[in-house]
Amino acid sequence: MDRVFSYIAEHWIILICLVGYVAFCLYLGWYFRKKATEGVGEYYVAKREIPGWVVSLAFFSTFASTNTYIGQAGMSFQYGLSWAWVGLIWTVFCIISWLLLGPRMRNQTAKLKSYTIPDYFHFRYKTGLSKYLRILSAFTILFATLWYMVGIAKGCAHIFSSVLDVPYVWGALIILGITCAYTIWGGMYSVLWTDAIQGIMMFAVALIMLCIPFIYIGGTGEMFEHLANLDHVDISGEPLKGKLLDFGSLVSFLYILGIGLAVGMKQVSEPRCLIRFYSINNARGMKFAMIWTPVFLGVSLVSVMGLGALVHAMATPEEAAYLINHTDEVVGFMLDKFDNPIVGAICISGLFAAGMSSLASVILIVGTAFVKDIWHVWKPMSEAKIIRGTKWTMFVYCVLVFIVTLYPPAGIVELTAFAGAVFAASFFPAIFGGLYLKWGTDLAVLASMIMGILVNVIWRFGFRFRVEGLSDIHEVIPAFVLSFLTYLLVSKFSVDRVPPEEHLKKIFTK
Amino acid sequence: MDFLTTLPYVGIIILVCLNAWWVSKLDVTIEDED
Repeated sequence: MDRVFSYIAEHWIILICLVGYVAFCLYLGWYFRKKATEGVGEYYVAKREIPGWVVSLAFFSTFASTNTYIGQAGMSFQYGLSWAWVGLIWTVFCIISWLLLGPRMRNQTAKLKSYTIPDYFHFRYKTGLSKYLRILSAFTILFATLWYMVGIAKGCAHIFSSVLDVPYVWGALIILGITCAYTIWGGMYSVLWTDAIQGIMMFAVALIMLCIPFIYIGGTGEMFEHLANLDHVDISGEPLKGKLLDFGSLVSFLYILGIGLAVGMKQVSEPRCLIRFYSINNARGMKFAMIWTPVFLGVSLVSVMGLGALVHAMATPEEAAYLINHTDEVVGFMLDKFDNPIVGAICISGLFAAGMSSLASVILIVGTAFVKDIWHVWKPMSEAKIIRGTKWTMFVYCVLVFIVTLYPPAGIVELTAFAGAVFAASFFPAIFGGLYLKWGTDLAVLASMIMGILVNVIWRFGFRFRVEGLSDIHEVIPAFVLSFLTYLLVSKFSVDRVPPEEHLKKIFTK
Repeated sequence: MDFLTTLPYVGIIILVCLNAWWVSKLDVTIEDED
């Protein structure tokens, strides 16, 4: 009993924050459980009746994850303030996504009664082959999502064990169990509303974290004076001096561009982001989200992306020498050093929010892909059975993720980034072509998907690290360009496979 | 701090303002399921 009391006495502030936050998420899931199960439209896309501000925050919180708030934030400890460019590039893709894809995707998917990204390919291209495109893309989702979910669950479990002294196994179980529960109960309703709450928390935490180094050191002037005359060393052991403030002196712009494109492109190709467009209620909501999503994302990103560089001002030369090789620990170090339990508790809750918002979105994507885009295509079933099947699939997939999280394969971060690159190269041409090019064909979709996957694999394992000078060029760049060109060329050479005029008229007329 | 290091911080403000101005001029319509 004494151990319990001393544990609570040590962690009570963070426990209150986390229990309050988790209870609210579970309440939202429970609250929407009846409404969500009224039909597939309700469970999968929240009946397309969600306000723009909720979808906007949900898009932001889904795209940004613990990896952004811990991994990317820490990278600037090594790369300096130039790393903030990555945040700017990601924001450019956020704007492109909302301007180019948002309204059209919302309208076309409503007309086609599409509830998932794979079924959009099926209904839009409307041939015998397009049914198989739907199944192929669903399998791609199932495979690629596993590594992403394991990466996030692993990150959250580590935070749990380091902050609350909870064993890693329990940390993974708690984070997956809670997220799985509210997602299963409320479907897309609970995913979007909890995402919105998590988005607010993440936006606030990004600003709070940015302020911490400045408060610690005593102001802006002191901070930049300190950073200009550092006695720390860089990754190769050379004196840093003022390099953190000089553009490109610690990292090449080509590398920044590669990461900026590889991750930023997820916003125009990954189902977890694109599915957000399906649920917006009206034109006013759409315009709100088109304006404010880049604000939420952009401000948060530039706040956290340069954070690591600022943390140098809080570290001794010995601490900096350790952290430069362990950038994932920079944010934790900053919170420890600041030593304010309330600020620490708020920031830790925000980090969990970042992980859970991304997890919930992909859990639902997996359930819908397996049941509606593979099982239902193979053996059609009633709406009630689709919803029931989706819930069971999500539960089983979460159990699978939990098991893999206990024994994570080496290089999980690389696997996750690689899966993102596969999405960008193989999904974007089919989506963009479907929305804008009446002459796009099913054969072009298939060819571009295969090209995207192949070029990703060949560039990464055949060229990138074997040919000198190519290591900074991420595989997503050649894969994206070649798969898009393939889509255009094959469409031009397979005009006989263009869907019937009547079908295109229905989709493209306002 | 040189100009290019500062650019993302200033650039983000300019970017979101330009985007807001552009979106405000757009005629966005949303249609529902048939």
